[in-house]
Amino acid sequence: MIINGLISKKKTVSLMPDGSSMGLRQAKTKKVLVAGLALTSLVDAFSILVIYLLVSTTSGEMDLNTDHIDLPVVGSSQTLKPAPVVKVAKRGYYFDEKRVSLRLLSVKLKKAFVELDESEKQKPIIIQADKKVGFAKINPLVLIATKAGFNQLRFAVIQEGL
Amino acid sequence: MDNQNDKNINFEINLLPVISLLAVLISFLLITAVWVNVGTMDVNQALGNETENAKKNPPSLWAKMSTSGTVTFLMKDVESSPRRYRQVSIRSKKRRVNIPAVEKYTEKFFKKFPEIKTALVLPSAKTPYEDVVLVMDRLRRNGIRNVGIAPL
Repeated sequence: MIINGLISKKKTVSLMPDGSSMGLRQAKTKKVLVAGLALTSLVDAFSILVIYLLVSTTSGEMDLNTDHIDLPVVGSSQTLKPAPVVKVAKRGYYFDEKRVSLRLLSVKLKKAFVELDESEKQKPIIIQADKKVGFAKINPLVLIATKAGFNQLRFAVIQEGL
Repeated sequence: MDNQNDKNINFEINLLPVISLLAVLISFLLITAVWVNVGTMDVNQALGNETENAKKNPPSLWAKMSTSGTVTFLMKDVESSPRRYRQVSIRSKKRRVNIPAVEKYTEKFFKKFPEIKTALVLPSAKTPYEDVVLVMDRLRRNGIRNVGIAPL
């Protein structure tokens, strides 16, 4: 209930007998700042990132295990394609991730050659060697591979500048 | 009644779970991505039976690599080759092949003789594998398609 007082100030009086009276004050409005975040564009950006990463990580046809081997770095190279892989490490020669002697390697390479597609003109073999290895260690491999019938040697390298 | 129907049509997609899912996917792909690009340098090898049917050898450049790191370039099967280019030696740098000098020479050579499309690398037993690959790479950069490697 509102009563006009002597000083013509309006005041509210409670209808309850024990209620207190209080002066009218202007309600203070609190300004709340609400920032709207455009989530749609964030979702778009994330989707593009995911698609790019998916494409770049699955672009190669074959993965080479280059643990403990420092490959030479060159300016231009061809894409890595599936072929039998022979590793030349300090301990010896590895075929299919298993250490083999030169004699056994010769037998395995001849077997691998037979399994290659006959219609393909190129019979490749991938040679993965550490850059510090001397050519004397790679030479027997070149001879064995050529003798087995492989007419294309693919030396695994790292492409620089990408 | 109409207000109730309007409420059914207006429906908002909660994008926060989608963003969380994409963030997890991106983190996984970044961790598992391999940034090192492994390629191959392809070298065609002549098998024994091919030499019998071979016609005249095409003009070629041979790169003979010595144990000390010196690379000697020889012109082979080139008619009336200039004396200046018949045999050129590039001295080593700290017992390793001087790759910048090799690159400079091969660029100059193949500008002068663009008809030569074959090269053969003859490394020595102690030549580091890296030097062999780098010399082959420099030859390829100058348009040589047929780069071969001669075994010891």
